[in-house]
Formats: sequence, C-alpha cells, structure tokens
Amino acid sequence: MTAPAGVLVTDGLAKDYGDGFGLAPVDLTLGAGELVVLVGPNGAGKSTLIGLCAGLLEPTEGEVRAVGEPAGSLEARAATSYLPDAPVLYDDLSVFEHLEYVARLHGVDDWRPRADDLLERLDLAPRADDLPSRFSRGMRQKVSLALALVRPFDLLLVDEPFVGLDAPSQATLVELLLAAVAGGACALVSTHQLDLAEEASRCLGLRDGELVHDGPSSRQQVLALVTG
Amino acid sequence: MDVDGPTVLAELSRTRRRRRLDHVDWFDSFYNAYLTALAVGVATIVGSTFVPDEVVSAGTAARVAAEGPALLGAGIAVLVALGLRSGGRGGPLALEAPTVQHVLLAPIDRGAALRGAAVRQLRFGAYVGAVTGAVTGLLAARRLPVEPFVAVLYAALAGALVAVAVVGTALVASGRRASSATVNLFAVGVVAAAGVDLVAGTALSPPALLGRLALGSLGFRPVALGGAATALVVAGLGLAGVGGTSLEAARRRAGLVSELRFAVTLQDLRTVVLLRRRLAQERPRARPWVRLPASGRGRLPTWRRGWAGIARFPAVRVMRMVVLGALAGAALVGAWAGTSTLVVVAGLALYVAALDAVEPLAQEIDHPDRWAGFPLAPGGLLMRHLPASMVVMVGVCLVATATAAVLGTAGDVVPIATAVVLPVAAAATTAAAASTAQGMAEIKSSLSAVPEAAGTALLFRNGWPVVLVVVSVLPVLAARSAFDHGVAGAPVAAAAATIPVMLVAIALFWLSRRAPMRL
Repeated sequence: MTAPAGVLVTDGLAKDYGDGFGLAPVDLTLGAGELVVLVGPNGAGKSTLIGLCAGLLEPTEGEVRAVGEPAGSLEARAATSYLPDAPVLYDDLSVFEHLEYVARLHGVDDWRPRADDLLERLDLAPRADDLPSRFSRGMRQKVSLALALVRPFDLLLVDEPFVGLDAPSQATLVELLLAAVAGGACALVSTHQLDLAEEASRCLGLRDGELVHDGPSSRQQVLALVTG
Repeated sequence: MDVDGPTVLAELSRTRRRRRLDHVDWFDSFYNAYLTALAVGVATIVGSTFVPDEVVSAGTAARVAAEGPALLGAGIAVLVALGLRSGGRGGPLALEAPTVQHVLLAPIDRGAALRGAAVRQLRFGAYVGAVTGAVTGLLAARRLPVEPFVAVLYAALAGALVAVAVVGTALVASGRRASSATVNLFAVGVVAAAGVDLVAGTALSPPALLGRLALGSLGFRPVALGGAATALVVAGLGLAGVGGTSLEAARRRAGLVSELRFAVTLQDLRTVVLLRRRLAQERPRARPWVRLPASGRGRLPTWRRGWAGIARFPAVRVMRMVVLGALAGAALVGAWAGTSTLVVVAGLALYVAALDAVEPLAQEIDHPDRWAGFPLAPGGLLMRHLPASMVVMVGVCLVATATAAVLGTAGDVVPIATAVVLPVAAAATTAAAASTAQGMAEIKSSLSAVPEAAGTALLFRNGWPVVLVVVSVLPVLAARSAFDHGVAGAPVAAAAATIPVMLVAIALFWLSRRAPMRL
C-alpha cells in the first residue's frame, strides 16, 4: 500500500500525553494523489495523528516529514494545509478578509478568482463581507474549509470536516476534496462519513492510539473500525 | 515560495485596528481612563497616609541601604523564577487561536510573526513595573531620608527592569522550549544566588543588583547598572529566540487565555482560579500525600471528603501556600516596624492562600447538580466543608508566625500570634469561601440599581472578602500600639480580634444561605 512518492512520511511517530500513549509508534507513507480516510472510535488518536502531521503537536518519539521536510518547518508549512475539527477564525475579520489574509500569507498574489470560486461553491458569496463570528457552526465550518483550500498545498490534513454541515455542503466538501486529490495533492481525512469512505483510495484505522488497519477503504471496513 | 510575511502581517494589523477603532466608544473609553486614573490616584494618596511621616533614623537608613538590596533581590529572584516556570509552559505570550492556526502554520518566519507580540508584552510589563515601582518609591520616600522625586525615579526604573527581566526570562525559556527540569534548575539557581547574597550580606547577583538600583536614592553605585544590563540582555535574547515557541503550548494557552479573559470579564473568581491552574498545568496528585484510613461508619463524610481532596494538593500548590504564609509573616513584621500599609499585603497573601485551601468547598460549587442532590440544606453543606480548610489555614498562619518570629523578636511574636491565629484563619477561610461561592457577577442585578452605583456595587461585591481578611490582621497593629505605650500586646490583640470574629459570623450567615447556581 506504499505510495511511490512520500508526501507524508512518519517514522516511529508517537505521542505520550503523560498518562499513556495518545498515539503508539506509527510508520506511514502517504503519496501524491491519495485520498486516505482516518477512522476509529472517539479517543483513538485521530486528532493526535493529524496534529502531529500538521506540526501543531510535538512528537514524544519518532519523526514526521511532509514533502520531505520536518513537519512544522517553513517548507512543510508551505506544503501542508490543515483544517481543524473546530473552526478557528478571527472575530474581527470578514470572510473575504480572512481569505485574502491566509492566501497572502502563503504567497498567493492572484488569490481572488480562487476565493470567489470557493465562496460561490460553498454558498458563502452573499456573506463574504460579514463577520464569521456571527455565523452558525455550519457556516463557520464552511469558512474554515474555504481557508484551507484557498492556498496551494501538497498535503491536506482534515479533521472531522463534516460536523455541522448540511447535506448539500457535505456533497460540496466531497467534491472539493476529490478535486484537490485529482490535482495531485494527498489528503488525509479523519471522518466517520461513509460516503467519503467509498471514494477514498485507502483507509487507516486507529484504536486506543494504535494503528490497527492500513488497507482498502469501504463502507463495511469503516463501519467495522468505528464500531470496533 | 516568496512570502513577504512582515508586510502581510502589518496589513492585517492595520485592518484589525481600523475595525476595532470603528467600534470604539470614545466617550466611554475616556470616561474609563478617567475613572482608572482617579482610582489609582486616590489609592496612592490613601495608601501613603497609612505610612507614618516620621523619617527613620540615620542608622536605620544605613541598614536599609546595606541590607535592602539583597532582601529586594530575593523577592526579584522569586519573580524571575516564576517567569522561568511560565516560560517552561509556553508563556508568557498569549496568542489568539486564529493566529496559531493561520499565521504560525503559514510559511513565514515565526520570529517575525511573534516579535511584535513579545515586544508588546515587554512594553506592558515595563509599564506596570514602572508604575508599581513609582508608587512604592513614593511610599518609601515618606520614611527614608531621600528626595521623593529621586526615590520615585530609581524605584520606577528598577520596577520596569524587573518586569523586563521576568518577561525576558520567560521568553528565553519558551523560545528554547526548555524542559520542566531545566527551568526548575535555573529557577533554583537564581533563587539560590539571591539567597547567598541574603545570607552573606552581599549584593552581587543580578537580582540583588536590581535591588541596589531600586534603592539608588540612598546612594547610587555604578555596579547596580550590571543588574539593568543583565535584564536588557535577557530580554534581547528572549526577543531573538521567540520564533522557537512551541505551537503545542501556544495552542493550549490560546484557548485557556481567551476563557480566562471571559471569566475576568464576568468577575467569576472561581473560574479564573481554575483556568489559571490549567494554564500552569497544576493537577491534583494521582497518589495522595497521605492515604486516609478506611472508614466504615461513614461519620463526618464532608470532613473526610475535604481531607481526601487536600491530601491530593500538588506540591506546587503546597509550596505556594507556604510562600504566601511566609510573605504574610514578613509583611506583618514590616507593619509592626512602622509601615502599617503592609497589613494589606499580609491580608492579600492570606486571602490568596485561602482560595487554595477552600478547594473541597469549591469543588461542590463547581458541580451544582451534585451539590443540589445531597439531602442537606445547600448552605449547610458549604459550612461543613469549612473546618478542614480552616485547619489548613491555621497551618498557613503558623508559617506566617514562624517567619515573623525569625525576622522579628520571637518573644513578642508568639503571644500575639496565639491571640490572632484562629480569628485570622477563620476570616481568610470564610472570605475565600464567600468569593468562591459568589460565582459570576449578575449583570442584571448590577444594572437594575442606579447605573452610577453599579460600579461601586461591583467593587463592594469583589472587595468585601479581601477587606474582611485585612481587618482580621489589624489586631496586630492594635498590639503594636499597646506595645508602644508599654502595655502587653497579646491581650489587646485578643480584645481587638472580637471585631473580625463578629464580621466572620455575619459572613458565615451569608454563606449558609447560598444555594447552587445553574446557568
């Protein structure tokens, strides 16, 4: 199941929160163009693995590399887009100002067409000048999604993206993820969404901080891993 | 990838400032600034009236000049040690969660992104330190044979530099992601160096040199500039390495600090205490210091539950309570020596220690549904929690007594302490319990009063428990007055203690009427 080019490579990657392993040592190689779903019951270590890959958490053991560079390094940050499980947005910036800011921080000068397209597809265009701090949870999640996609990336790390989204928005999210993968990116998505499992090329299963499955993805497989 | 990070960050900063300014009510802001300035001014003037006007003798002034730097240095070293520990946990920067998510994960130089916030933190610290130093210098000038302006100048400069040193060391520790063991080692080293000065009667360590600078009005010595240079170098190192700050720590702090600010806005002291403990990663011990013997008969369950919780106090909390007790004792020695204002410091130290001591009661308040479910009068349950906490506070008061006996004259201290320890412990426990039980401020009830009185009402709400503890230590001043007139101090202190005891009784009655509060 090893991909030809390692966009994301972990080597003995582990995290100990002090009261036992949040993630037992994991060796992984994820390649370009792969859509990988990460599943497991609550507390299995999914968010820990994604946080480590994003460079937000510090490993207790092992290492993680994105596009060949240590997670958290300048090069890895340029290549990695991370969509957290809860939207993280400024209170005093409009949707549009958020998009401009994030895009420009990633060196995108011609960000406007991409931003307009995302706003349109996520049905956010009419609210582009509003402050997301006044939005519902689902609307804020869509803004967060737009921010993750408005900038270039080789590795997309997504943590529980479907929470709070209505059915049309969930479908749009799947489309956007597939488009990103078709464009050559590698996407690692933590989810319980069975529809996405059908589309994914690979499934990683975690339980009690240990990798218990690395193989093909299917509805049955995901259900079995989530329910134990 | 070529990203002009500083330009983009500066533009964001401008956009956000513009938006903030759009929503600023200038009249309201000026009114708040006016009220703050007025309050600080009045507090300073009132505080200064508590300090006797009589200037100490030349001999005493010479003793202050000789021994003061090392004594101040010891206090400064403790502050620096606290700064180091804060840095070991990712402090002192408190970033917004979106800044961690969008800025620190972007391919820009993290040092450039964080330096502005670090400079603001240093600047604010220096400002607070300078104001604190200036007020202290003003009060000291009433008793020392010095020019007030010169005293204020030196004290303000030293205060600013102390704050810069504290924030700077924290920045160095967090930027280098120093381990807990490393920061503890350095903290012990800094305190030990200051302790050596204290014992040897020298002033050679950097904290003691800053102490020497603070007392420059009694005679400036150029060597004191060594302390200033050290503080500035440490701050420079902190700024240079700020880009190394851990994202994991920054993210954890971001969430907690925003909750902390919200709790402060609501004047919810218990939530502030809890969040501060989470910021400091202060957790109950998994294994208690002492395991309580099994009890089969179920008598005094609240007393037993209290000790079960106290037996799990983490070492850092126990240490903090001991230090606060010692601080209270030292402050009372200063008050006995003539600087009456120090009773406020003693009262505040005991109040803060008591906020830790009433943890079993606070746990009840944290879980209102469970509290409401017990077949007892709600306030009665709180009352049953007080004895265990009061025993802890008696211990803290004994630490204060021991400190006072060491710093003062043991023969004078012990009889007076015998008369006041129990009332003080009761007052501190009751006051902390009352503050904890108050919960968040009820904005509606504050506003339903005359709007102009709302501020005073909120001030009274938060202030009376602290005042109760300060009043409880006033018998020490009564004893001093009696002592000055050749009368034994202990009986006078015991008689004076009846007033705080009556106030405690009123506060206990109020506490016994509390009921669980649900949102």
